[in-house]
Amino acid sequence: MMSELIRLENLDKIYPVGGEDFYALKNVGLSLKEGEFSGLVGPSGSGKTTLLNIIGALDQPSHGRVFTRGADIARIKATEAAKLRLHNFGFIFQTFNLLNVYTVYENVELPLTLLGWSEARKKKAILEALEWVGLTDKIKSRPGKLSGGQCQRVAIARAMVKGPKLVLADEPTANLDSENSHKILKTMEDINRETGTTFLFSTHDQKVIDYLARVITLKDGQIAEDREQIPDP
Amino acid sequence: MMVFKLALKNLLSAGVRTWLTAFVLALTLGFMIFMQGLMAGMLDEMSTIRMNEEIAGGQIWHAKYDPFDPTVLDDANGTVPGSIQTLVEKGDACPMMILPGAIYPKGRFKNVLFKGLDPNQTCLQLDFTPLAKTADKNELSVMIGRRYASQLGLEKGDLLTLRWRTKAGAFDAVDATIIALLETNAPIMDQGNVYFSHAVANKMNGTINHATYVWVKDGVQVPETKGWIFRDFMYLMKDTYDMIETKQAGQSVFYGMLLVLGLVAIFDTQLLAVFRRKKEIGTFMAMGMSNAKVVYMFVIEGAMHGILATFLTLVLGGPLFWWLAIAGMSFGGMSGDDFGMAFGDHFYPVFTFARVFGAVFFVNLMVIFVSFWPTRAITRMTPANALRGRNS
Repeated sequence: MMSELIRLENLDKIYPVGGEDFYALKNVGLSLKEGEFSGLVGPSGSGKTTLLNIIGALDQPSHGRVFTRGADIARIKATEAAKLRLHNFGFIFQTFNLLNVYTVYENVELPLTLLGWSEARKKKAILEALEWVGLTDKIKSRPGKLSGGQCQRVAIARAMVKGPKLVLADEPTANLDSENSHKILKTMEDINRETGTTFLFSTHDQKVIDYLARVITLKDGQIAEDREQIPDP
Repeated sequence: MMVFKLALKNLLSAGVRTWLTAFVLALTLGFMIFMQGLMAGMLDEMSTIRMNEEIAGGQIWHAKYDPFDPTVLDDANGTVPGSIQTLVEKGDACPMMILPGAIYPKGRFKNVLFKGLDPNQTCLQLDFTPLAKTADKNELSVMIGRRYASQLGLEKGDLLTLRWRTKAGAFDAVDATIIALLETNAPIMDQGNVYFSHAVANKMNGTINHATYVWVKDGVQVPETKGWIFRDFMYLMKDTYDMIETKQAGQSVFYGMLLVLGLVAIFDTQLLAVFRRKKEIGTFMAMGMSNAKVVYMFVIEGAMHGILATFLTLVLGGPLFWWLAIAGMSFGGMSGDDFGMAFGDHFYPVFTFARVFGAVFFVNLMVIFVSFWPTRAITRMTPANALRGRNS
C-alpha cells in the first residue's frame, strides 16, 4: 500500500485585488500518495499553478495546512523551505527556467552541487539522467542552442537527477509541439514506472491528461472533481 | 566554497556579459581616478607655482606694508636694514620696491604697481635679467607680464608712458620701453605690474636701497629686525590654502556629482543586471538554494566584476594616466588666467596610491552594495513570485 506523501487541509490562497480579497484557492483538501502520476486540471485562472507552488513550498497559503509526510510545511521559514525543496522536490516549469549561461551538463549538475555531492557521484547521476531523456550528445550545449523539446528534457533531467520524492510539473508541454509533448510525457511516465517517483502536473493540455492515472479538476480555486483513470495516451 | 565556485562559474559562463559589465565599471573607475588626479594636479600646480614664482621661502615686510591697502604704499618702504642686507649680499634674500603708479597703454589709463627688483635675483624662478639691459633709444627699460601685455594690446618693444608720485609728493612721468615680457603663471606677478630694476625704482622714488619687502629663500634663518616683519611661507600661502579649501569644498560637490554619475553607471550595470536575473534567482531558490547563499553568490559575482574592472582600469588606464602625469595636459590653449588660478597652459595630473586605492575601494564597495541590495530584495520574495519575475 502506497503511503501518503502530501496532504492539504482547508487550504486558502487569497490575493488582494483592487482592495478586495480574491480567492485563488478556497478550502482545498487533497491527499497525494507516493508513486502517483496525477495532475491538476482546469482552465487558466482555476488555481492549478498556485496549488502546485504551495505543494512545492514555492509559495505559502493564506490559510490551511500542508503536510509533507506528516510535517506541516505551510508556515515554515524560507531556509527550511529551501532545504525541503532541495531534498524532496523536483520542478519542471512551463518556460523551462534553465540557466542560459550554463551547459546542459551544468544545468543538470546544479541541484547536485547544492546537495554537496562528490564530482564522481555527480557525473554518474548526471549521465544517467541525461540518458533517460536522450540528451547525452548535448551535454556541452547551452540551452540557447537547443529546441524547446530538448530544453524541457534538460529540465526533466535536472528535476530527476537527485531522485526527488515528488516532481512538480507546471504546464510542461505548453511550449512544445505534439511530437515533443508525447516524447516528454513518455519519458516521465517511464521514470514514474521504473523509479516510483511521484509526479504532479498542472495542465489543461488533453495530451497530458491522457497520460494521467489521477485527474484532479479545479474550478474557481476549488476541487470540482477528483477521479482516477486508466491512462490512454 | 560551493557558492564561490558557482559564482565563478556564473561569471565565466556569462562571457561577453561579464566583460561588458566589467568594462563599464572600469570606465567609471577610470573616470573617477582621472578626475581626482586632474583636481589634485591643479591644486599641486597652484601651490608650486606660487612658491616658485611669487613667494619663495617667505617675505620680510616693511612694517607699514599691507598688500590689501594700496594707500599705504607710498610710505610702506624703508632702507633695507643691515642684517637683512647681509642676506641680500649673500644671495639668500632679494629686495622688492613697490610704488603705486599709472600707465597709458594705447591712450587708456591703468593703475598699476611699479615693482623694482634685482634683475639677477635668484629668489624666484623667474627671468628678470632683461631689466639689466638698457633699451636702444630710452634709458628706462621695463617688463610686464605676457598675459597682461596681451590684454592691454602691448608687445615687446612698445613704448609705455609711466606716471607716478615721488617721495616729495610731486607727479613725474616718463616713457619706457617694454624690453621683455615676463613669463609667469602666477597671476599676481603677471597682472597689473610693471617691473624695473631695483635701482631704477629707488631713483624714481628719490630713495637709495629702499624696499617694500624682501624675499628670502627657503630655509634661510631670518634675523629679528625692528620695523620689519617676517611673513613665512605658510602665512603667505594662507589665501591659497583658503582657496584650496574652498575649491576642495567645491571639489567635494564636483566629486559628489562624479560619484553620482559613477553610481548611475554601476547601478545601470549591476542593479539592472541583478533585477533582469530575477527569474534566474527564482530558479536557484526553487532548486533549493537558501536565500543567504543566493545573496552571497551574487555579492561574490559583483565583487568579481569589481576586481575585473579594477584589473581592466589598471591595465588599460594605467599607461594612459602615467603618460598624462609625465607629459601633462592642456585646456585647448586656455591657461590658469582663464580660470583665475595659478597654473600654466599645461598642468600635470597627480595620481597617488592613496587616491587610486580610495577610488578602487569605493567603486568595489558600491558594486558589492548594488549586488547585495537587489538580490536580498528579490530573495525576500517567494520563489514563486521571483520565478514569475514579479516585484512582490
